[in-house]
Amino acid sequence: MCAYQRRSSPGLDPTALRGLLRPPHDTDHLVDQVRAHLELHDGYLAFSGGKDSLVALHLARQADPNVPVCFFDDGLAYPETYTYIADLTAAWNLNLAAIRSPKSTLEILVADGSWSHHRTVHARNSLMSNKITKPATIAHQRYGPGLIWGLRADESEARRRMFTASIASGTPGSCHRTDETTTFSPVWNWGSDQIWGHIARYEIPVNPVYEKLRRLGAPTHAQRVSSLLDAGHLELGRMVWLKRGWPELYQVLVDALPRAAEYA
Amino acid sequence: MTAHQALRITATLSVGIAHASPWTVALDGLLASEIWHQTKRRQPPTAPAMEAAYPPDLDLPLARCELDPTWWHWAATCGWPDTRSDDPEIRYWSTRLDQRHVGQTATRLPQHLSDAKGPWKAFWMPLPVTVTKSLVWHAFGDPEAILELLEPITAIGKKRSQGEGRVTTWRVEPAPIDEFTAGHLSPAGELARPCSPACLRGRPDITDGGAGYAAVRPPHMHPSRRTDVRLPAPI
Repeated sequence: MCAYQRRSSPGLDPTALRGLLRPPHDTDHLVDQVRAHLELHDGYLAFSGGKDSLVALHLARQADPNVPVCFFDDGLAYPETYTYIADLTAAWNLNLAAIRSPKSTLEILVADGSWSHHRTVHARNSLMSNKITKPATIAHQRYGPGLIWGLRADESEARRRMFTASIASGTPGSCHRTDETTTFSPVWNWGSDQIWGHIARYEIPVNPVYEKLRRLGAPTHAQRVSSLLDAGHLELGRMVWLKRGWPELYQVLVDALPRAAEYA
Repeated sequence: MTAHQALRITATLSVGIAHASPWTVALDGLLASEIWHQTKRRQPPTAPAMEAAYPPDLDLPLARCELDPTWWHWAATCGWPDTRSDDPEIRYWSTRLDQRHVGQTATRLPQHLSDAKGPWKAFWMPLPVTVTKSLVWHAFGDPEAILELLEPITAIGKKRSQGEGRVTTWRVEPAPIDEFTAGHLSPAGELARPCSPACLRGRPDITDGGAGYAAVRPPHMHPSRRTDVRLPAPI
């Protein structure tokens, strides 16, 4: 498993330099907040293999080294992500549970019909429900209603609104949801630079998919390690990077979902 | 039948070639495309090849590699650039609905035309480009027939209508290489085309792109041509 990789070229690496700066957040306070959240609600940490949930995991392990860690597996993660999570589990002795979605994301997309010109579009199954909600319900029943995750406000307008509401309710970064769960993100007000700075500072092993996408030339917004394919970010070239970096997986997906080729 | 020989085919490019795969255009694909194009001009319109369950193999002026008789392929490689760079060149293309144009041309419009979702969604797409002065293919075939098919081709790769992949000259010349090299390997000695694992049996020293799933002969986009292969080494 690769630790955080500094660039081999001799130029300045801003990410490595950010790791040398004083952290903008009080890390000890964040660890205390995570500990308090887990003591109050019990629960688990949701880990996707991405950089944000990695930092949340790094903080949560300082609060409780045995915190349950759940990976929601929809069957369409990058192959490197599965290896990375297995390696990280061994290296950090994680209390990891992989919870599979009821159906694979690919099954749902194929059944949907809209990815082929020769198929009738059927009633849509919710990817969100299959990939997140149902596995999360299992995790809540197993570990309790307190969820630690790595959501950040600057990722989308909806998340910004959600965390703005959490400030108004007096619990910044924490949200109470209709399914009776209470979430807390210790990195809710961090920027992407601060996430990478934290990873560099503590030399945390990071998912190799990021480095591969960077080497392919993918811009920062396209360096994502979530599912190989869903309906998001297709118009920003998600299939182009898949075809360039994982041509064999691309071809398998295109066989199952012919219209995916239109986005490469 | 014309005697086939080992060939080196060179396309001089004005700026480079845009391509999404980690390898560039296959010579057999270029030749098949040109033959198909000429056939369409001569004959009345026929059904697109992609709609046939099993489109016929066109008669290309190339030898066949039948080391795997089921998944045979034409003896020709994908293009190889004269230089390789670690820094990828990424260009972008975009589309956005011209709301004023729509307003002028349509008689009735919905209340809101969203460019964030649906059929009018705006695109901002990356276009990986290999910047190179020339591309080189190896092949085992008929030089005169190959040159005759290639000469009308003025641009190759993606986004040709936007000026990418402009070809200034084609050159076809004999190459002092054996038939296997001509049908499989790049000038660097690496695998330069998708091929059946049977082609590489007993040749463990050849660098390739690993096991994969891809088309072995044209039409490359047709599912009937895809199988488990050894992939070309990335350029």
